[in-house]
Amino acid sequence: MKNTGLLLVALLLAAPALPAQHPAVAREMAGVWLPDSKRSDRPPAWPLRPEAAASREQWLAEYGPVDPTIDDTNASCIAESMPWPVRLIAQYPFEVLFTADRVTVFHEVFGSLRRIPVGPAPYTFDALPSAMGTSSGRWEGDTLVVETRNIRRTGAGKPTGDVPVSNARRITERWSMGRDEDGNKQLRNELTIIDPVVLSEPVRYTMRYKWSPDIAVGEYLCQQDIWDQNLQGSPSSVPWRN
Amino acid sequence: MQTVRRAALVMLCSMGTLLALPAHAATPDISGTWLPVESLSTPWPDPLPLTESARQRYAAFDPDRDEPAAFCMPLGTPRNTLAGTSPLEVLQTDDRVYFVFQPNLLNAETRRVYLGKPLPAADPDRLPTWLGTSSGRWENNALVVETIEMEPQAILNGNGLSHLGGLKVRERWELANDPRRGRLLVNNLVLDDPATFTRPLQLKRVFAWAPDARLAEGQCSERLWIDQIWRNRLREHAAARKAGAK
Repeated sequence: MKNTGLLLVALLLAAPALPAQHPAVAREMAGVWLPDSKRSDRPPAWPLRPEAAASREQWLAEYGPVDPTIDDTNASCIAESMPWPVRLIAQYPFEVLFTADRVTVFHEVFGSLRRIPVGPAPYTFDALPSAMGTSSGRWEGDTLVVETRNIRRTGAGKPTGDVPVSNARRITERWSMGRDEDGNKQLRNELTIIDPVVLSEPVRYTMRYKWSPDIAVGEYLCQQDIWDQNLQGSPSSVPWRN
Repeated sequence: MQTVRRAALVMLCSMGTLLALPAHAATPDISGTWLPVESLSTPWPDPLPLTESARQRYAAFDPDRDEPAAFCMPLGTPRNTLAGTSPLEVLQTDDRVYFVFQPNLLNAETRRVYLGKPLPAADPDRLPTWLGTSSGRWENNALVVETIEMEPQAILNGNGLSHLGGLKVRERWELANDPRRGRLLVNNLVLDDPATFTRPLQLKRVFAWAPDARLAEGQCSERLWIDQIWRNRLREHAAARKAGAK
């Protein structure tokens, strides 16, 4: 009986709700946010290394010209890679959810989902490259620092002549809480993009987001048009479906 | 002395309960990743208890035309819960439980279940959604979930079983133990729709604890893209290059 009681006490006292998290900041950060386009930076021009710029030109010469009606991956509902969903200023909400040892970010656009394990142990980047990459998070004071690697290269599946992405690309995000000049709750994300193969120096900019408790992250039905046309018996207007 | 010590322990336990885990000391933890176990789950009954109109809809199903997943549309609720071999991820907090499905590398589908928030009153102007609107509550050790307003274009299984929008799904998610498979998450579902079923349909879907399972990123559009355009573009370029070399 005595042992059971002690065990219960130990279990109860040793089980805070968010052991790996920063509960006070997590409570503020959790919820639905919209990009604050007026208060966010625009990404600067990409400082391409000469080899990367030459490679891009060569690619365009070989495979161009780019036809946006066919080649735009957006039109084919392929999710854009990081950092696109966090640097987007179009008014697509995202939701931040904190659980015991993870942050999960649900983006409405493309239904993209980021899983960010948070904890003292270093996370191993052993997954295949993906649009959202592989992330790990840690708290530095009141700031949630998120490192992302294994970001899917755009060249193979996205022939639009965009800035190339190498396997060495990594993104550091510093998420913190603040207030805008009107006193409204604001989420900040200071991004640093490092890609030693492609970029001659790191690219840095800061995004800011508006607290949006009355907005829900909706279903992003990218293929709805094609599906509707199919149901109506009409041929698709998207070229690659014909 | 023994009594005093026991009383002190009881007090400490109570304080611990109040301080550390105020609202959910007895709430089961169903969070984590789970893999469906087909052999422990209930298959669709054969024959299905269908109304005449549902029987006609079922017979008219054309998989080439009427399968939303072929167009990268969601499976929708409850098909996402009942189908597929991919892991299920459950995220749980005090006020919500999210079920994340990624069936066969289709796009992720997150069923959001808000606890203690009643279902909205019927409103004919509100459109149904593919995942439906859900409300949940803990009843003893079971998470009871009610879902309404599911998009009727979302078929219920791969054979084209459909409803007309009046479907209600009741679920009881409970932990269990299996001597061979270990920790289980059992979902007993009731599909209720008088326009489709002659009686409420009971199904069971069982998941086994799979802490190492991971959900991959959906690749549905990529597969279509690669199949339909990129491969053709590569062929065109290869042909052009060959023609130029001659």
